[in-house]
Amino acid sequence: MKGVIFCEFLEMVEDQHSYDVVDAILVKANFEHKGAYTAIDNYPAEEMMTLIANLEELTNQKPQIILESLGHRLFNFFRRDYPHFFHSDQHPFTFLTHIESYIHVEVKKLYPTAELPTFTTINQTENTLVLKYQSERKLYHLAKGLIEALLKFYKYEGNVQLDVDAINPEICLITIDIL
Amino acid sequence: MSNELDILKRRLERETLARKRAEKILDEKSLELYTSNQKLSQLNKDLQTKVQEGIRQQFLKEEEYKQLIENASDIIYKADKTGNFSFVNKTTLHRLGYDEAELIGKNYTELIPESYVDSVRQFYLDCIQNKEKRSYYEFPIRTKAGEIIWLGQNVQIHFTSDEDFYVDAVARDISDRKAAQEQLLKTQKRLSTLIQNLQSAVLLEDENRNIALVNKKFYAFFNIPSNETLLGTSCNNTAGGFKHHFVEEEQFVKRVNELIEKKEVATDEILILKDGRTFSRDFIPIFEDEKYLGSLWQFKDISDKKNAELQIALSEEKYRSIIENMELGLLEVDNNGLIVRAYDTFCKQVGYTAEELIGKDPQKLFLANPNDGELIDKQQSERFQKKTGVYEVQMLTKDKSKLWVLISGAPIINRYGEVEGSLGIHFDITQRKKMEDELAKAKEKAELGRKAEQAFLANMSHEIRTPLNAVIGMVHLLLDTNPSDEQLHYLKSLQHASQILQGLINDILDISKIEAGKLEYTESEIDLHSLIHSLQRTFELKIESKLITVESKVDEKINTLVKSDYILLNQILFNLLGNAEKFTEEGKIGLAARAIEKNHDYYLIEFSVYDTGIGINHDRLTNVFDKFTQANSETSIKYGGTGLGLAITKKIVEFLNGNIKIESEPNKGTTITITLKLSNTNESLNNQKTAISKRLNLEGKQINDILIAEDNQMNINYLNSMLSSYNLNYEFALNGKEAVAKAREKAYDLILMDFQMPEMNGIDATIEIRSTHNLNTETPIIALTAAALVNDKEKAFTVGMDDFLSKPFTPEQLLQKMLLFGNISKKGEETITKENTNNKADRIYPSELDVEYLYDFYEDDYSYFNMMLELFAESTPTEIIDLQKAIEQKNLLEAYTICHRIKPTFPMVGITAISPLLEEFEQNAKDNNSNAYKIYPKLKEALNLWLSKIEKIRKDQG
Repeated sequence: MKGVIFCEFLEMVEDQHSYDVVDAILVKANFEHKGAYTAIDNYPAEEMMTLIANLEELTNQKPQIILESLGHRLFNFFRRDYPHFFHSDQHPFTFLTHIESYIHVEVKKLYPTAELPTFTTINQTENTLVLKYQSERKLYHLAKGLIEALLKFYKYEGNVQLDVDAINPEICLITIDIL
Repeated sequence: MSNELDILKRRLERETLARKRAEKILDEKSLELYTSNQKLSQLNKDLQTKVQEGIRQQFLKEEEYKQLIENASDIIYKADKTGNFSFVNKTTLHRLGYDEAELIGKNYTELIPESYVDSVRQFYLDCIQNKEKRSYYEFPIRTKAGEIIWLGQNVQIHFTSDEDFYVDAVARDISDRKAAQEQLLKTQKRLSTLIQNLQSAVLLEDENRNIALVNKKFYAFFNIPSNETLLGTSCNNTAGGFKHHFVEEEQFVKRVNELIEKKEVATDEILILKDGRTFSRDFIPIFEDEKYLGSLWQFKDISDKKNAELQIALSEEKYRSIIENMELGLLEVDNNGLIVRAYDTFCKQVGYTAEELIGKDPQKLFLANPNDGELIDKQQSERFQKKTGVYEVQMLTKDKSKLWVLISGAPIINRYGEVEGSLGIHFDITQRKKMEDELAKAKEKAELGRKAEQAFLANMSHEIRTPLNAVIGMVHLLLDTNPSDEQLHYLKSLQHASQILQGLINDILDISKIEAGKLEYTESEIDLHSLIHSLQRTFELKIESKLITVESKVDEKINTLVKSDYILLNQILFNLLGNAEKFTEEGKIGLAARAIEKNHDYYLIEFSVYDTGIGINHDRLTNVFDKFTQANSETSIKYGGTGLGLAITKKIVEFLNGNIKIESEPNKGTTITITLKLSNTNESLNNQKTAISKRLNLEGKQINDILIAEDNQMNINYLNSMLSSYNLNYEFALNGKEAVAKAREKAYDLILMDFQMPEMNGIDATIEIRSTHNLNTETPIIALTAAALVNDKEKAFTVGMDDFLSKPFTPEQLLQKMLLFGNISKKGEETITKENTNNKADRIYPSELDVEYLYDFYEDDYSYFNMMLELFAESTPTEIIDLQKAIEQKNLLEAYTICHRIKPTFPMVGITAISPLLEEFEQNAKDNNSNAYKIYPKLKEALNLWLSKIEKIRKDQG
């Protein structure tokens, strides 16, 4: 997992709480690198799970809420650092249905080792889009946060609903309704 | 506080560590970038080297191309935008015959024949206009030597700017191909002209069902206006478009689709058009190496042919129906005799169907009588010789009934002249056969009837003539008894009536014989002088009482013997003279013979018989020759007669191929003329006087040698015993032939001639003796006859016999007759003459016998009776034994014959009592009635009784 995500996560925890909480979850985690994350390096994804679990223990914050918040913060980071991906006159569904064919293609160019979830369009009407999310990381809540932030950015109001596949937890249907 | 400090320390430591980590990563990335740059610059260097090498290679290739162009076999040149040559290769110079200096700068149009210049120029102007870089065009050019070469030219136009360009051209000499193409075109044109002018409609479609060719006739056949074109249109809907022409529209479409589907050749399919025309269609799919290239449709208008065929069929039908209606059954068989075809009527005749008959052998199937097989085989073999034949056979029909057919067979000959089989025309003649059968039966019946009639007539002649002759004889005797005038008148009437009756019987017997076709032609040599003269004499004697002279005249030209039937000729003339005499009271009757024509082969002689009698009215003349016709009814009352005389005469004349005609004037007389063609024997006449005149003078002559012609053994015995007591040499001839032979060898003083004999009868024998060279032409002949059939006596006289004695006769009667012709001496006694024969015996007949009958028969000629008694004793017992045998063998026919034979002998010896029993037995035996067996014992007893009585009488008399 890219170091930038750890950096953004830790900054978010510091913003929401304080550096004490950041320090606490890092100490508790007791990683060999002592929590010295740099945005341009890569780290095991399990470390993120440990940090979120530590945070939940410390603050009683639900992991899905933490991930959704992280999605929002990451979207803002992306928009700020990679503005050419976001055209102001675009419909959010257009963006979403092109994640695989456009965004992820570009991401792979920059970070060939990046491990990315797959998004498949299951159904699309004028106001509803159903996407299938699949990843062994099961970070669909992170995706939800990102999508909500996207809708907000494009000034659409709507609901994002998750339905995790009962048999395969790596799959989750994301239904986006625009009001 | 320390906690806060710890956290800060840790935070700082983390940020330091993170910075160092980031710096390290960045260093690694820089190095990586540097290495990549190094690699890139090396690559660039390599690339440059490769480009230089490529350019060098390119240069080499251009050189090669140049070389290639120079040495190419094609014409290659460059031209500028005006069309002037700027480069030409060697081949160009070589082909066109110019050198380089002459060509460079020359405009290409200068090489093109004038008539092609415009079209070639236009083509390339268009290319330039349309910016077509590449093009191909064919045109001719003229070489320096004036030869025309066809070029196929590939041109590439290089546009250097919008306005500017130059031209590369590669041209190949295609003269040969062009010539071939032209030849092909010519051929194609010829073919197409041919197709266009074909008398049949042709349509060619390609593999995609597009019409590739249609000829004029096609338009004409289907009434398509010539300004419409079918070329190139699809055939898919053509069938539908054409179907309205045909009577069977849907069938037409269906068949077209079928043909296209199957792609098999189909010819001569007949299509009937609604307008009455008939087309014949051929469909020919075209393949090349199994690749389908299209199909040819050909339509021929065969209406005329069809009509002609129809006419033929109609006429065939007509004749067929005629033949069918003629009830003629036709049957065709092959050379093996097996049925090939059987026509309706034949099938009807025999009751089989044609299918049942094909391949069958008619001999086995139909022949009712196996014996006819040979006939059929013979007919069959005649067919092979191309002969026809007509024959009748009886056939068996399917239901085994019999059918008579008349078959007219003819060989069937094919166009090579070989016999292929035969045709039999069968005509049902069952009805005819039945009729024939019935006719045959009827004929048989009629024949039987006629025989019965003849038997009756023969019988009648005997039964009537005997008493009639007695009557006539008695009348003669009575006339000599000095009757009173009244008695004389009665006797004359009686004589007249009986003579008429006699004539009537004779005539009826004659005509019935003639009508039965029993008349026989017996040829002999005749001396007409002698014949006519003797007739004259006969009539002179006959009509002594009348004041009539009888004339005769024979043409001196007739100086040889002629050939004809003596009896018939004599009868004709005798009848006519008889007629003349009958109707003539005074004056004369006459007979003349004149030769109208004479040559080596024959005489044409006209006999005329004339009289000065009552004559015949003209209106009666035409039918005097009809039966039962007399000139008028008074005639028959006054003169009597049957009216048969002339009819009989005419029939005999016609039988001898002669003519008869009559001329008559009432009260003046009648002349009947007969013309006959008689063969000339060229034998001169004997210079003899007539036999009769010589024979008349016989009295006083001694009779020593006698010839007796007699076939009956009993008569021979009888005569033998009778004549043996006289001083006579007598010989027997057993038939007429033998008599004639003996007459040639020895001269006799007298001949006794029986009438009925085998081989040759007495009449013919007499004629032979009288008319041929022998020693007895003048010897007296006495006829001995049992049956007084026809006019035996008359016949006897006409053929030259001198007297006539009816059987049975007594020895005394015979002696008296013989004494008419000379003296006879009894052995050891004086010569017997007419005068001294009446030596009567005073013996009496045995009382056991019918004395009265014996007196009637023998009077007091007891010796004759004795002789008969001996004869009876000799012959009858053996006959009775034979009769017994016949009865034992149940042979009634034989019994009848024996009984019939012996029956008359019993009265002859005075046994009359047995006659009814014999009569009854004979009748039953004749009818094959078994009653005969019942009667026989009684008869046998009677016969034995009488035989013993006769034996006793003979003993008594010693």
